[in-house]
Parts: sequence; structure tokens; C-alpha cells
Amino acid sequence: MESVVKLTGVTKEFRNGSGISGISLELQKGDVYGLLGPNGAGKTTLLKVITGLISPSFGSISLFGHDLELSYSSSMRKVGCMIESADFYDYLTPVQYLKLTASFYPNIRPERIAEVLETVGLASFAKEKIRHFSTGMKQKLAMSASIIHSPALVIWDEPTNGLDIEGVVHFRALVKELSVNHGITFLISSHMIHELEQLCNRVGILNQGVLIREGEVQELLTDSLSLEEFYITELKRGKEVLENGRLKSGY
Amino acid sequence: MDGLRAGIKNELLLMFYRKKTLMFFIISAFIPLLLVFLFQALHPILGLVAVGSSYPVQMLGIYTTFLIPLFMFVEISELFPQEVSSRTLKLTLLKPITRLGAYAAKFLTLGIAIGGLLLLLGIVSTLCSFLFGTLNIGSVGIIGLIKAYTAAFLSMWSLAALFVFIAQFFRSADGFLVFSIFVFSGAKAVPYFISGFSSFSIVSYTDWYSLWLSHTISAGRLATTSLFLLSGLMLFLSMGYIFFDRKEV
Repeated sequence: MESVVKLTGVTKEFRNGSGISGISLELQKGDVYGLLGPNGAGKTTLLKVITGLISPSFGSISLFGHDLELSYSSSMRKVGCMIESADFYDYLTPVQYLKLTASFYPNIRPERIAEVLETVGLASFAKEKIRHFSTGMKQKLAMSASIIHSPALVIWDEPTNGLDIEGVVHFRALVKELSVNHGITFLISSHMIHELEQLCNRVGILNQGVLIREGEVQELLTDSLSLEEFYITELKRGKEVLENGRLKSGY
Repeated sequence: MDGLRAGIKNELLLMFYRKKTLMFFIISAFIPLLLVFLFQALHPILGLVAVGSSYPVQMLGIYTTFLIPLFMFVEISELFPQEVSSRTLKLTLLKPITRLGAYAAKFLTLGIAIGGLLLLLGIVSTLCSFLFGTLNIGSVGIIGLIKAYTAAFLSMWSLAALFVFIAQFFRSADGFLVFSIFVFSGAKAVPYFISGFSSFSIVSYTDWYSLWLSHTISAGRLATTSLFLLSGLMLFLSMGYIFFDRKEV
């Protein structure tokens, strides 16, 4: 199997004490990996570290077998991202924004812009200013921008935020289509646990900056009825371990 | 290199999609015309006011003191603090371009815009002096004009490097804009109180182009001041990059 993302002991410490600690993780080509965790668990921080938006305090990150720091541009050419929130230059139209995005990648056909807008259901809003868009529409535009160059790895942070029911169904179909038919690897962080259960072959649970469990969805669910039940159980167990650790250390 | 090229293209397009940039260019093109009509109206009354071949240089004085610094502050505020506060900086940083490439693209774009503004002013004011001017008022030849405008570009770009560095400490575009105007005005006023300050202040070099038109200035002095501006540009540009590179978005 071909390694797409490899993290070894990645730690990021912020001044307020939050961050992520000692995360090791590997994604293989074709994986649809779901990152779960409560608010403030460190999911966005982890995704920002993987995409080079913030530097890790310790540890190494490699994308497609190359160290991220040493080959940032060439690695990022194969990555499509939507991190934290869908923010845009709101004085642009989707077409203008996608043209700007496309200029960073070689050999993107002009028709590709219309294609991706059609894919996410924004074709009829192609020439409207982004400032008039709802959160869900911005989310869809961010998705379209992240797949315009047919990346090998897609990293989406809370992609279903603000999407209506139709949008969520569309999102699910898009991930399935791209992963099954095009072999694209996905790393998705989300609170929509039912979505992840349907989409992902692997999940990781992050709590207080630590990856407390990760593995194949089928394996993790052998003792649980659903991913939701498994997630709640693991979070409780994680908290107990943390509390016991604090008691033993006298903290 | 591809990333840098795409970065510059992107920043230039973003700059011209912003209405305020277009407004600056339109105003810059109209001011020399308006002043020509004003001078022509005042000429019968005051007599001394007239448009001559030195008109493009006179205009340069107004532009390098007021309009270009203001344009620069507005553009720098959009290129740096505004991108941080509106969280759009990540849109560039997540593309196949290094941080150095993204920073260089922004600074080069700023240089292209300043150059474009000077070129526009040069063309419009030269046309004004041809069309409405009185012959033999001042004597600045075409070589002199090119020297003056090139020198003005270097002094403006060095000034831009200083304010790009300052911009790295701001997360609010408005805050940066107000602070920059205060710093610029303050630095312009200080030489009236502290003699010698102007020799070491990039802000005092906004009228540096006039040295290039003087026949009494030695080549050595021109070389020294050129090196001072270039080293200031490199120093502030490098220091700005250190802080830009550390930015966590």
C-alpha cells in the first residue's frame, strides 16, 4: 500500500497549554479517514499541522512519502483542503475565485470550473458575489475549490457545517464517488458521526489533544452497536484514564 | 517558480477586483488633469501659475508625499492584516506555494502596483504638459523624467518594505492604516525638531528623486543614498518575512 499521510509523534503546544500531543498516524491510498472528537479536542490543530498552516513543536509529517517541510509545494500540489471555516474574498464571484485557485495548478481546463460548480450544486450562482452566499453555499464553494485540481488527498474540516439535508446527501455521494471511482484519499474531521460511519473505512478519536483510539471501522465496532456508542464509550474511558493519571501523579 | 508566478498573478487580480485600488488609479489619472484646468483658470489672475515641461516632476512631489504613501498603506493593509483578520491568508498558504513565495508575491505585487501608479502619473502629466503646457517653464528632459520617476519608485518601494514589516504586527487593517498614517506624519515632522534625523529615515526620502535632477549633487552622494535605500528595503523586507513565516493562521 502507498502511504499518503504519515505522522510520527506530532506534538503542537500552544502557550495556553492546549494543542496536540504525540500523534502518530498513517493514511494509505484510498482511505477515507474520519477524525472524531469533542470541541477543543485538537482536530483542527491536527489538520493545520498536516497542511503546514502551523508548525509542529515536535515530530515529523510526510505527505506522499516526502517530508512536508522539505517539499511543501510539490506535496501540496496533490492536496485539496478546506480547513476550519469557508472564508473567501467576498468581493469575488465563484468563477473568479476558482480561476484564481486554478492558476496554482498546471493543466486545468477552463471547463473544469463549470464542472466543479455543477458537482457541488452551485452552477446557477456562478456569477453572484460570494458576499451574498450562505454558510452552506460557501462550504460548497470551498469543497469545489479543493477538488478542482483532482487532488490525490482531500482534507476537509467539518465539511457538513451549514449544509442543508440535500447538501449533506450530496456531500456523502461526492465522497463516495471520488474515493471509489478515483481512488482519492480523504481525511475528514466532523461531528456528524453517522455520516462518518457511512463513509469512512477508518476513524480516529481525538480527545484533549491525544489520539485515544484509531483503526478500521469494522474492527472498532465488534463490541458496539454503532460508531456513536463506541465513541461515547471511548471518550468515557479516556477521561477515566486521564483522571487516574492525575490522581496518581497527585495533580 | 510556478507558485511565485501564480501568486503574483493572483495578488494582482485580487488587487484590481478591489474597488479601492481602481479608485486610486482613477483619481491618480484625474488629479493632473484637474490641476491643469485649475492652473489655466488661475493663470489670468495670478500670472505665475502655469503648466510647463516640469509639470510631471511637480506632480511627482504631490504624489510621493501624499497619494502613493496612502495608496501603499491601503494596499498593505489589504495584503497583510486584512488577510489575517478575515482568515483568507490560508487560502493562499494552502496552495502549492511556499511561505517565502507567498510573501514575495505580495511584495512584488505591491511594487508592480506602485510602478503602475507612477507610470500612469508620468504618462498623464506628460500629456498634460504637452497639450496644455507653456514652453520653457522648467527644463526637465525625457531622460531627467525617467531618472526622477525611477528614483521615486525606489524610494517608494523602500518605504513599502518598512510598512510591510510594521504590518506584520497588526491583525486589523483599520488599526494598521491609522497607525501607518500617524507614523508617516510623525516621521515627516521629526526632522523639523531633530536635525540629522532625515538622513537615517526612509520616510524622509520621498523627495529623493529631486536629487537626481540636480546638477550640483555628486555621483558619490547619489550612490550612497541609493545604497541606503536598497539596504533599508532588504533589511525591512527580511525582518518582515521572519514574522510572516512565524504566523499561525
